[in-house]
Amino acid sequence: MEVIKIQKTYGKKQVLKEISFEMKKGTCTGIIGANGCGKSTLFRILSGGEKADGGEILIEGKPYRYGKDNLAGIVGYIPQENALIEELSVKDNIALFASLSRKKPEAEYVKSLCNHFSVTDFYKERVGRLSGGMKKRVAIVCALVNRPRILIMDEPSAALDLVFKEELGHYIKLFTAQGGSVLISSHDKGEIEACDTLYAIVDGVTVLADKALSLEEMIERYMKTKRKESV
Amino acid sequence: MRAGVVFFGLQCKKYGKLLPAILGKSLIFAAVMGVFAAVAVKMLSAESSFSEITVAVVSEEDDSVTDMLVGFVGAMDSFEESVSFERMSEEQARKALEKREVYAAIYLPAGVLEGILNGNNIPAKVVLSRAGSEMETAVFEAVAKAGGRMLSIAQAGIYAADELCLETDRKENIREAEDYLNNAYLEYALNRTAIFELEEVTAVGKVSIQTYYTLSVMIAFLTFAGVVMGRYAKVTPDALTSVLSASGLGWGRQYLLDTIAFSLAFAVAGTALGCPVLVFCAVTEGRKSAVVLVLITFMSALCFLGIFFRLILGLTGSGNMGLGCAVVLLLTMMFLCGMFIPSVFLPVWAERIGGVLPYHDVLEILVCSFQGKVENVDVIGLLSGAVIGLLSGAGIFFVRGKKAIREADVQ
Repeated sequence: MEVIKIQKTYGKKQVLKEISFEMKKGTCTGIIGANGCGKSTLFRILSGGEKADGGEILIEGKPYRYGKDNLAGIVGYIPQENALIEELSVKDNIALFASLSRKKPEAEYVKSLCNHFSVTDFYKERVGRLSGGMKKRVAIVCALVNRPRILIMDEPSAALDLVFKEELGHYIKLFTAQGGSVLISSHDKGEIEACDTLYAIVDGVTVLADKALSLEEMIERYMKTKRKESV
Repeated sequence: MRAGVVFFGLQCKKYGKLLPAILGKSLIFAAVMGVFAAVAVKMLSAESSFSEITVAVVSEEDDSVTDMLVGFVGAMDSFEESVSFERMSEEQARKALEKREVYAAIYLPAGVLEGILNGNNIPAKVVLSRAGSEMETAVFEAVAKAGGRMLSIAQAGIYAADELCLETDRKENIREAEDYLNNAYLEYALNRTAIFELEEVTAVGKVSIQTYYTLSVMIAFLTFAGVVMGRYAKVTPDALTSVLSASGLGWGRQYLLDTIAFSLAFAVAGTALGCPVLVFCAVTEGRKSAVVLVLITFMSALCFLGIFFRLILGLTGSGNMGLGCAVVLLLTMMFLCGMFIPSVFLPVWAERIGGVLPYHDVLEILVCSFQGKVENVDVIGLLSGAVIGLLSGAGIFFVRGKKAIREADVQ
């Protein structure tokens, strides 16, 4: 996936000014930034849930057309908020996501996915009765059910216990090893360090980040660069 | 296509699963509202209920002629269905008046009958009770005065004829003249009734008042159920909406499918619940053959109301505050459409507003269905209302969603 000069404005506020980066096949890319910097907006745009005001997204070399191209089976998106129907069972929610792709996923694959993320134990339970961590696991299964090649995760480890965080880390490695690409936003140090490439959103613009630096240090470095440019 | 079908099926399943809980909550809600409504109706209609007027008759002469007179007057058309006379002693009548057991007491002095016959007209005293509800007393007063006037007119004619006979030395013709006049009065009086064509007009239209209020109560109860059910309907797009939208199931389609599922579940459950009552109403109306049409019309009307509730909840929101506002709004609409008090009893401005509100069409089409015929105009009205409701609701859903996303992201 290649992101070229993505822009987004809400009213008078330009949330994303110029977001550009590239996600290589088989790698994990991290996006960091302060709260409200536009990470979720960017992720929603990249997952096809929102239209960008400007710029271009290339998926496997082809430009993505908002509202026309179906991203099911290409992009799996795990939003920060709960994206499940609370009144229905886990099984029903997975069935809904499985129906989004033209190609129906094999039952064996769905079963193995559920086993991997320990969803089988509460497969027939109503989502509304599950804990935050359990819901997150279900959301991950739903995002993966159509075998996407790109996985976009907006703060996935929030509400997850330490054991499952580790399991998720292992799965990300497995996913990238199989040729998939992962885009992740996180405040978790372990997850950030596991990324192959890291970008920071500062003042609506992406900057290549140094994992060794803290976010504050990166912002300072970016501002210095910007001041030099203006001089 | 497949995603749309699965989404619709799952939404139907969702609402179907929620029905027992919704029904339970609605019953509690309706019970609370029912108590308020009963108190309100009692306050509004305390002076408007009308019961049979009981009148005490006290006669100084305890004879069979007075009994005959009371029996005769009580059997008159103007009194028969609304007034009953009871012979009492003076003491009994006084106590009955004090206890509000009678609305009036008539004291017949001695020789009152002879007085009527010979023209002396010894006046009978009428004591009216003003203690309780005054409507019955007022009605009796008006009827008594009208009766008195009629009697005096008839008497005047007969006495004038008697006088004419006496002045023209034809005393032997008095009896004949009186008989002639009595017959003539009766004949003309009977013929006069032909001037008025009797047509029964009720405030509720083509069904009995019982059926009308049964329908009203059912619609009111189902409205509460619909609002409770609406709590589970999505009125603001969320993360799931965005995710599904990215995979080809757009916001508009999601809203339409969800609303249709909501309305269908509401209509099917509502019709199943109301079916015995509707059948009973059709049977009591003598319209057994219209049962199928009544049920189909009821279900269609509920479908329309489901779409309408979603629209209202889209405007008010489905939080506690929003639900409260929706209930107040819907109750006001029901009131203006004559569901609690027939609209003909409402002020003209209220009746006019009620005439353009959806509940009016719903009641109209339901009442018509009991006649075994539904007007095309009403069907078109309901269908166009449903389409407008769906489109407006989708528009509100879209605007709310964009606003929610903008607010979340700007923060």
